[in-house]
Amino acid sequence: MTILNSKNYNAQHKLKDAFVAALPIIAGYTVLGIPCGILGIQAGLTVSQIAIMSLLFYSGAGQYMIPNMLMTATPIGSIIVSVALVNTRQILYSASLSRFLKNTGKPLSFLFAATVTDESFGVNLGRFSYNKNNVEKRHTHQNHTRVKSDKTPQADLIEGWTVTQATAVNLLSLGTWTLANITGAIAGTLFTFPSALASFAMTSIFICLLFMQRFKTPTAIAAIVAAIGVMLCKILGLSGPAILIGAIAGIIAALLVNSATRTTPNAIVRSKGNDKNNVKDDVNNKVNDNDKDEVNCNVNDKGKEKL
Amino acid sequence: MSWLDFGIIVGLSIASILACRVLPAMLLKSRELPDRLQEALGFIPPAAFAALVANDLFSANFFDALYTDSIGAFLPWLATAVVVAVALITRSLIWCIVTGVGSLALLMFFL
Repeated sequence: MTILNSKNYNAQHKLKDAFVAALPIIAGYTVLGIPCGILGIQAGLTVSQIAIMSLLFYSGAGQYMIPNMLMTATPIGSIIVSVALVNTRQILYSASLSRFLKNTGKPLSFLFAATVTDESFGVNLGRFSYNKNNVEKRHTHQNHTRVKSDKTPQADLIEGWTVTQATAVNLLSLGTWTLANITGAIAGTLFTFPSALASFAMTSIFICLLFMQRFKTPTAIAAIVAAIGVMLCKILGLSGPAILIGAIAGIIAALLVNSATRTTPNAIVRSKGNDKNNVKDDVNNKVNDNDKDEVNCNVNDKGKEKL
Repeated sequence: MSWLDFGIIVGLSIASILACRVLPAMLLKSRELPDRLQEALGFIPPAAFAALVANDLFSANFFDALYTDSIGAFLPWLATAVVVAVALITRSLIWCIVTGVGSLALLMFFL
């Protein structure tokens, strides 16, 4: 993908697409980063410490937690453990995005993976998947008439979301976050924005990303169980790992539901699904991209084939 | 904060988050994953976003406010209903941020 990107497609155009994709994150991080910088100063951090933390640590949740815990004189050990627990959910994003890095070199893969956040994960995953669905739709559409030609998949590839673009989204977000933090740290109390409002900008992003998912039964189960899991963790006082525990509970529940429904035979879905699988294999050969975005129906179909 | 404390706290935090961000991607990227694992990876987005929303809505403030100020506790929930509608209609992150923060601001101002 990256090779094609550097070849014959307008690089400027691609960068513009990345900027457009990053805009909501840029808006959100500006709103959230300024109060974060203010908080850091209040907790006794210097401007350069805040800048270093924003650039290298780059974690909204973590950068709100550290100053808050410093101000309540929390022991250093428990600060480190709490922050580490909150950020363990990054493991899930990293594993999920790994499939898009198949043909990407190590340095770019590292840079991309190291700069993923909750928000940029959602935005990039949406673009990667949107691209794939388009490829799939077009192929399904042309399936009966298409003679094997290299042109169509090539064209699809060029239109696709590249790891370079995804990294650009990440770096634009990182730059915004760092600048907003430094602005907050320097300008301090000039901006007073209620923190409840600032953090709701992020909540809004998560709500939107959640409801942009295509919900089928197992996907809905994953979301509902995850939310209930987080609520229970919070009630039990496990707020640090709440997101990770909730999300894993949701994933396990969805897997269980999926393997339970897999045994139900359904001829219509089966034939449809097989068709799709063939198309997918075809696309996969060209794209070398083992994206399993439509994992629900896919796996269902595979299970049915075994029957 | 002294640079020593800063180095210990932030240095170790950077190391832990970098490991979480980078290791799974680098270890899995050139591997053919078993079906079951791929299936599980596909459920990460809905589970993670639902967990993040729930994490924000069931905040410490929410549980405190349940006892003291019953309306205030539910303002983010009302704003969430607005954002869900906007998300389903527009599918736009920007519109969700604008209407989410806007509606919460109005609710906080008037209620």
